[in-house]
Amino acid sequence: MKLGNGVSAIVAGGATGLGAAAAEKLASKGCKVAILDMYREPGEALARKIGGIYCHLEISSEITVDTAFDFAREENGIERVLVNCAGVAIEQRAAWRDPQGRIHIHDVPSFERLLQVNLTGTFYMAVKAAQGMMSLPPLDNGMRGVIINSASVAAEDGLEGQAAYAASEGGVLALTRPLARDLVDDGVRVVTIMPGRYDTMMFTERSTDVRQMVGTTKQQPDGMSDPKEFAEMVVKLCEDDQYNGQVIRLSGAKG
Amino acid sequence: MKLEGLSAVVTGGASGLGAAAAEALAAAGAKVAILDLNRDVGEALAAKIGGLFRHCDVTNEVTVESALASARAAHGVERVLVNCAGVAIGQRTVRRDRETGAIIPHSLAAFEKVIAVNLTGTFYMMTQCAAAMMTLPPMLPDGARGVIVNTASVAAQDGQIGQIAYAASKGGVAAMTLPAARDLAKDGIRVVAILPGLFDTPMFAGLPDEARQALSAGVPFPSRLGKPAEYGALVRHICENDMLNGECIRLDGAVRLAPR
Repeated sequence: MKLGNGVSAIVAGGATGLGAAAAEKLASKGCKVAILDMYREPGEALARKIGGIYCHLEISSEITVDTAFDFAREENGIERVLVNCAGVAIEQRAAWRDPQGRIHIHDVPSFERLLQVNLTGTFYMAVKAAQGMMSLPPLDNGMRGVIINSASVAAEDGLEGQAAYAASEGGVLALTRPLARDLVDDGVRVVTIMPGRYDTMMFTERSTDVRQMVGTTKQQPDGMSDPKEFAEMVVKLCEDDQYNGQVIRLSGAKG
Repeated sequence: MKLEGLSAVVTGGASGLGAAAAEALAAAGAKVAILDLNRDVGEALAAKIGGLFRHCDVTNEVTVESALASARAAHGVERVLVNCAGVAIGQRTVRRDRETGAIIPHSLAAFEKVIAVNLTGTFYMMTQCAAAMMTLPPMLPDGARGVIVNTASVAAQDGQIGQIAYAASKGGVAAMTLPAARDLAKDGIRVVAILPGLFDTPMFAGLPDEARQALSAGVPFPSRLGKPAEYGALVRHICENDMLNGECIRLDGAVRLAPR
């Protein structure tokens, strides 16, 4: 699918990190970009910078998702590109002993919150966008649009303390193929990227232990990657119609 | 880990794969507690295998805790947990109505229900039982305390049209296997997931012979639906083989699910 010519694109979680890099890149390709995010200040600032719009989004609230879609569509027209980058991470072990020997278990509300944002949020955004794309006329070769999800390498090799995070991103990984299969007749493609360790807020907010463990700069062999590389991948996946139903590990073989 | 005399809990153990797991564990000498929604069938099976039945809804924390407490009072704290409780639905991401042409999205509530039972239910059982296993002394010189077997599905890897919710839930179960095994490694608790292919269970019982034959034909070898006892045998082997840990095992006769 050709980008540019004012193709409307929605980037969830587009205010910072991987989403922001994708939003910036899509705008530079001539897309009309709507940044949907819970962080208003960086979202509005980035929207101004790239000539896009910002819409407030609480991804776990159906109503704010619906409203954000309505607003983005009024301004930019119905989207042909959705990039799903909204996500949160926590670290908590399934069960553990504290120094006093007491046994604790992972709390259920944290697990459910993570599923709600990372998995159900991704699902609902995809359903909403697919519904919109199906109402559009097909472009050349019958294409109507493309949905790009962001999961994590934790979906394949979750670390200690990542049971909840891995479950949520593993769900995204697993829904990619049926999602693509459901929409193939209507010319909507679906691809999921599994980023490794990127230099984003999700990482800087994590404990110093983890940062020390993996290194802090991308120059270190097992350190972090640059969000721009993620954005390049997003553009490639939008433009190349051969990608459908795939899951792509984008970690530079680090970790 | 030798199963003789150990306490084991099987969710969804009244029928299908869970029932086969319960029978296999009982045959190996384990004291089996069947946790299920279906009381009549569950009690009958419990009587047959010399185990016990406790009513349990894995999405309801109160029923989980009381079922586990009462199973432990009778059998002692479990060393084995097998998670088989699950539900399946078929609904496309978005569909066009044949007559009106209306574009209809997947129900969000239906998606959330499948995630709650299959993924959060499995997770909650796992944390509850792991915490209990950690109170037990290790059994073997290497520190082994217990084993948790979760049931995912081949749909976690090749979900079909209409399986978006089911695939997402089972993909979550598969993905948490490794981090859970890593979390619990220090305490000698193993976590393994089975990804069953097409099995002859109540999920398929209602199908006409023709449909069953079509399903069987898609399985390279053996070209038939899997027998639940074959699943039960794998559960038993996972319990007995201490080197199996943090792994997802496909049990599917080499089937790869087609788009529809």
